[in-house]
Amino acid sequence: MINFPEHAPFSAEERKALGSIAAGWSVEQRLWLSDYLARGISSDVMLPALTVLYGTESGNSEELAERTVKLAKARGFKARSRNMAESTPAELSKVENLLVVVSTWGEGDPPETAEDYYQTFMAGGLELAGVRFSVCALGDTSYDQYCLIGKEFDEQLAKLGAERVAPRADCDVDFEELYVSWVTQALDSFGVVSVPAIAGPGSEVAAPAVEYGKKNPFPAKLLEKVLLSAPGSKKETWHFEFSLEGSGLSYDAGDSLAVVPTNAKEVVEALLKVVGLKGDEEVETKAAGKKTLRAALTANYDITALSRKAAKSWQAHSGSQELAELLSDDQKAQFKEWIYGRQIVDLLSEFPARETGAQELISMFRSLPPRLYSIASGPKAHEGEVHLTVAAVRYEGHGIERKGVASTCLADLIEVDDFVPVFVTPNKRFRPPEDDAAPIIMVGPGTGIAPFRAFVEERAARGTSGKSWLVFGDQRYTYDFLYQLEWQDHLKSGALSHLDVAFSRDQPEKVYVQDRIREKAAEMWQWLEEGAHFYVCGDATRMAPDVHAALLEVIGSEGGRSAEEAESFLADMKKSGRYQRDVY
Amino acid sequence: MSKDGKPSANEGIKDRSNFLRGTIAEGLQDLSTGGLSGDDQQLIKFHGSYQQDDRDLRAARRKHKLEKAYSFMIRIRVPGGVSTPQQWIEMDRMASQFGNETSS
Repeated sequence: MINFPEHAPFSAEERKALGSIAAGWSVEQRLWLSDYLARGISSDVMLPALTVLYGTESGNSEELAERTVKLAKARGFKARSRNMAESTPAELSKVENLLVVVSTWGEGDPPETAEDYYQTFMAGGLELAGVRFSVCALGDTSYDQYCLIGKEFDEQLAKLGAERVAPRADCDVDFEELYVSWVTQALDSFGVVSVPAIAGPGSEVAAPAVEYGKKNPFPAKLLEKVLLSAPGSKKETWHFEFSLEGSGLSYDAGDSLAVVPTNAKEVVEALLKVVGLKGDEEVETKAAGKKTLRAALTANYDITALSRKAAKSWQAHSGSQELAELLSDDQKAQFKEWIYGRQIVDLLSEFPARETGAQELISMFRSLPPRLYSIASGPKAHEGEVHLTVAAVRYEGHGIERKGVASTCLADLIEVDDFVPVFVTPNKRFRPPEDDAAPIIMVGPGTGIAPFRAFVEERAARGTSGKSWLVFGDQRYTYDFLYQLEWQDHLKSGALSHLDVAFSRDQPEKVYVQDRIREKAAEMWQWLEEGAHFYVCGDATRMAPDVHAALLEVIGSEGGRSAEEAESFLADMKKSGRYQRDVY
Repeated sequence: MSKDGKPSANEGIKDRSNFLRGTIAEGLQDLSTGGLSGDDQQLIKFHGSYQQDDRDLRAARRKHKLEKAYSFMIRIRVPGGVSTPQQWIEMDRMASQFGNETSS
C-alpha cells in the first residue's frame, strides 16, 4: 500500500485506490505510467522544462544524461536530453533549467564529438540571464587536468549570466555515488513541481540480479588466449576470446568491453609491507561488505594510479610537511614531475606515516576502475563470443618494475577456462557506415587494429558492397603484423580491398601510418570524394593528431583547399559522422 | 629435356611468364605478405634469387596468426669466384641493410 500525501490532487478515496493498485508495481512500471500520462497532457498545463545537455566520448555522460531525464520526468519535469554533437550553444538562450553532464579526456580535452560545441560555447557571445543550471563533470583523477571541461562549462555559464542553483560535482571514474547526490540536489534546487517524486535516484538504478551490465558484470569464461607477437618482438600483444554464452549481453562493431581487473599479488604485498599491515585485518568495503584487507586491496581498490587527490588524502593522514610543500600551488610542475613513473606505493614509502589502520588505508583509495578495450570481433562472425586485442603494459619506473593493472592481469593471471567479470560499453559514435555501399578507410596502428577486425568481419557478414582500406602499423613486419593471416584471407575474399602497412623499425628512418596516408594522398582524396568514412583508432597523444594533420594535408593538396577550408571540410566530415575516432 | 618427352611443368611457367616477368612486380607491391606466390616463386630463380621459409617456425607462426617466416637468398655473380675487398664490403653492407645480416 502506498500512502499518497494529503496534498496530492486526489480525493481520499482516489488516493486509497491508487495506493493499493500501485503498491506492487516495479520501478519501470511506475516510470512508464508517469511518462505515459504526462505525454497525454496538452501543453497548456505548465510543466517546468528541463534540458539535460551532455558531451560524451565513452558513453558514460550519455548514460547519466538519460538517467537524469528519467529521474526528472518522474518528478514531473518536461525533460529532454541534448547531445552537444547535435546541437549548438545558441539553443541555450531559450532554456530555463539546464543540467550539463560532460567528460574530460586526455590532457584536458572535451569529448571528440563535443569539440565544436565546446569551442563555440567558450568563445562566448551568449546572453544567458534567466538560465538556471548545474554541472556534473566526469573525469579521471589520474590525469592532471581532471574534470577540466566540466569546470570550464561551469565557469562560462556563470560568466554568461546564468544562475548556478547547485554546486558542480567533479566525478572520478567511480562516479555513481557522487552522481546520485548531485542529481538529487540539482533537481531539488529547481524547486517544487506538480507531481510528487515516485522514484528516488537510488531505487531507479536497481536492476534484477540476473541482468548483467555495469552494476553486475558478467563472469565471462576465457575460451582462447593467443600471443600475437612472435618471439623477437619488443611488444607483448595478446588476443583473447571470451564466451558471452548465457550473459544476455550483446554488442555492435565499434563498442568496447569493460574488464574488471584485480591487482597483482606482489603489488598488494608491496603496499602492505610499506604501511606495515599484515593483510588479514578485517575491513568494511563499500562495494563488497566485510572482507580481509588483502582481499579488498586485490579486488576493490585502485592501489596504483597516483593523482593529486590521492596525494592530498595521504598528506592529510601522514601529516608530512615535505609532501604538503610538494602539493602547494606554486609547486605544480614539480609535483607533476614527481608523480611521473611513480605509483601509490612510492607515495606511501617516500612520505611515510607513523601508523595507518587498515580501514583508514582503504578510505584513501578510489575504487578499482574497470578498463575499457575496443572489441576486436564482429558479433555476427563470432556468435556468443567477444574478442579483445590487448598490449601488456610493462615498464620500469624509478628502479621498480611496473605493470598496467588490467593488461597484465589478463596476460599473467588469466588462463583458458578462467572467468573474468566484463560488461559492454556501447560506443554509438564509432560505427561502420549504415550505408553498406559506402567506402571506409581505417587507420589503426598497434592495438588500434582491434575495432577494424570487428568492422571488416561485420561488413563481410552483412554482405556489404562498399570497398575498404586498412592502414596498419607497428614496429616490425616479421614479428608485429597483428592478425596477418586473417587480413590475407580478407583480401582474398574481398572483405578487405586495400591494405597498407607502416613498420617503424624495419628501416633506418621511422615510417608511420601518417606517412602512408601522405604517400597515398591522391587515392585517399579520391576515396573521400566517393564518400568514404574515415576511422582512426589507437594512441591519442601522438598518432591521432599526426594522422589528423596528414588528413588535413591530403584534403588541402589534393582537394585544392586552403588550410582553413581543409579544417572546415574535416569538421563537416566529423559532423556528418564520416570522420570517427576511438583514441585513448 | 628429351626430344619427344613432355616438357616439365617449369617449361609451362616460363612459357606463360611474359619473358620471365610473371607477376613479380605486383607481388612485391603486395604488402600483406612477405613472400611471392605461385609461378613467381619459380621465376625469381631466373633473376638470381630464391624464396624459402624457416621450417622450424611454421607451426608456431601460424599460432601467432602470422604467415611463414619468408626470406630470400640473393645470388651474386662473381666471375672467377674472386671478389675485391671493396665488393665484399659492399655485399656486407647490403646484407646488413636489407637482409638478416648474413652473407656467405
